[in-house]
Amino acid sequence: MTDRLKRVYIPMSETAFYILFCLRDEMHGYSITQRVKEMTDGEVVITAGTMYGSLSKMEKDGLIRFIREEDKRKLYKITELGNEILDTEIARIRRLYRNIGGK
Amino acid sequence: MSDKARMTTHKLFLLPDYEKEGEYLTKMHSVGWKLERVSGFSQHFVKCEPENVVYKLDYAANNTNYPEYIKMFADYGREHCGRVMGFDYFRRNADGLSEEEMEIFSDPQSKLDMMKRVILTRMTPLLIIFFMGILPNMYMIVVNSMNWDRSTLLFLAVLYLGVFALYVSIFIYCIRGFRKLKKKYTE
Repeated sequence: MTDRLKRVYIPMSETAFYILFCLRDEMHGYSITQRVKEMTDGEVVITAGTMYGSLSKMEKDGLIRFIREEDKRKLYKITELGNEILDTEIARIRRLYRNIGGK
Repeated sequence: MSDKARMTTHKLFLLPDYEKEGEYLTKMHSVGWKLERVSGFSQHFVKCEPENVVYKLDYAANNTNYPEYIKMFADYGREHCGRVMGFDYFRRNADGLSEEEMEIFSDPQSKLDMMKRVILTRMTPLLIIFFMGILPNMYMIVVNSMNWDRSTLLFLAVLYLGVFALYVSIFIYCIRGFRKLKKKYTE
């Protein structure tokens, strides 16, 4: 199961990476977009359709889970499986970075 | 006066035409016709000041929580302005927006995902209806042709051949349209 998901999610799109990365905290769709904008100086913008589709897909794949609803907004958080996949991706990016001369 | 405050157009937008439909509505708003509602293949407009408003269609499929879906798009400044056959229509003011910000999908994968949802949950049922409904009926006509008089037979044959031709041309149109979209999204 994890192997199949790893094949699907790794290497990860920037969109998927930032969504998972943000969901280490409990958040809803629009607040993720806002935070990603701040983190990337406005260079990575995740729009409504992409956010909705990504969250639905990740929830279905068990990478994130629905926590609660607040004012018609769904709040999500990363699952253990999601963390495992995110950590694998982070290790891959670290390796890339090391090999191009970063520390 | 009152008859000029409203207008209805009847434009046929088929499954792969959702981007074209958004462009059409955007153009109409820019010349002072604001979408009031959509129904089937009709677009109902009310007169307004010409505005730079961009329209986009989404197809989410299997929405388990519709108010939450609408709310998310509202958070992003998108007003829900119609729903037909599972397609949701959103608009937002486009002043000062970049091409990228006008889109409801910010990466090519999610554009492809939407297209796949349309194919899987709209196109596939049409194909099934075709194979389960029309083809067996045509077969029955051939089998029973001995028992019917010529005029009934001719009527049924023309009817079913007509439906058959219509279906096939719609399928060909849709397949071509989806291939074009796929090419556009993957280039």
